[in-house]
Amino acid sequence: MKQIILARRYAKALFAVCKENGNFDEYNDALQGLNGVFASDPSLADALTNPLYPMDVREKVMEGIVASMGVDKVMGNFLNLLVEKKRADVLPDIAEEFQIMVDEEKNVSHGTVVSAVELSKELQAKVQATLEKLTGKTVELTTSVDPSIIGGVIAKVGDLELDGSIRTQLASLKDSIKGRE
Amino acid sequence: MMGMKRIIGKSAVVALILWFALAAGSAWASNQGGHAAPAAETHAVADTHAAPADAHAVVDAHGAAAVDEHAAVAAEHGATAGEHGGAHVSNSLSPAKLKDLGFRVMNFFVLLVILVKFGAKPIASGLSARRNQIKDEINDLEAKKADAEVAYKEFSAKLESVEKDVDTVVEKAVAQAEIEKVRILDAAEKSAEDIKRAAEMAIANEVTAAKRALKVEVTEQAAVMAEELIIKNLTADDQVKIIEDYLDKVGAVQ
Repeated sequence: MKQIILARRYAKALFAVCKENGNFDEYNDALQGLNGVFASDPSLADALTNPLYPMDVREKVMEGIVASMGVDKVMGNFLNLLVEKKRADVLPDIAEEFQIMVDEEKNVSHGTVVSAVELSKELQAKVQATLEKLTGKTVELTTSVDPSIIGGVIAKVGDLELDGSIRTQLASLKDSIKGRE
Repeated sequence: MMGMKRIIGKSAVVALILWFALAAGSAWASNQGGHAAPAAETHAVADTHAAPADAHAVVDAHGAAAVDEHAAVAAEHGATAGEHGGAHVSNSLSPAKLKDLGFRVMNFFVLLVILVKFGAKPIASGLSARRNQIKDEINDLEAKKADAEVAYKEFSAKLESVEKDVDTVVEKAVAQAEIEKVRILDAAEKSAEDIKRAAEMAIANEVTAAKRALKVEVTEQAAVMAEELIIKNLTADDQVKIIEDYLDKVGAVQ
């Protein structure tokens, strides 16, 4: 279960420190990397969050991770604090919230583009430019292919969703024909 | 009561006069018989005929008639005796006969007084009671007759009114039945109209639903066919063109 409020509170504190230092990219990379390790290796998350393990053992594990990551003291203390406060399980949510804060700070939005066929570089750039024009932010796109949409694209950036797929247009046409009396 | 006494008195006077006349006649007949000495035995027979006749005369008229007849017979005998006896003269109002007459008169008056003394009141009261009873009965009957007539008139009037009421009730019932008939017919026609309208609406709804279902079916089939055609005929260039057109349209909107 996500703990958004708690995660946002920790992320906000860390982001405030980063904003003073101006190195939120470094912290963001560390958090996203650690989040990726948590996702790829559940045993690591278990070693940090399982109450069966003694607290000093869990702290040593985190100290080892911090040492291996080579982060600065602030970030190391932050990660050790999470283990000490038994909030290591909130780390993925903190990473997500921190990413959002960093994107907002850098005026960057993350979006997805779904197409029926693989998009060329030029087409991706055109889609990105269009989305940046619509949102007024720098858009970082993630592309995917879904043949069921038949044709066109479906782009999502934040709350904005652009559905130009053939499937949706056929559905709209069908609904308009059904609804017309 | 006074009328009864007057009637009784008059009757007594009439009876007295009649008795006196008969007695006088009898005495005269006896006197005639005395002239015929040889026929004394016949006179005796006549007297014996006359004496009872006197008594009968007091009782009733039939007796009087019999006395007249006997007197006539006695007179005839007397006459016959006179013819047989020749110039024989006798005294008819002899002292013995007058004495006998006086006793008879006195006897009669005594009888009359006794009758009046003891019989007048009971007879008068009886007759008066009977008269009153009859009068009461007549009055009762008159009253009953009047009541009966009144009742008859009332019942006649009631019968007439009842007949009129019956006619009125029948007329009202007929009128009510006509109204009810009209109402029932109207209700039936209205119900029929409602049923017809409901049936038409149901038919229209069914037709509309069928049209809608058919349209949905056609639309679904058309969408499937269109999708198949698009998938079949859509090329890579078409994909690019579709995306570019959409992006241009979205950008133009912005």
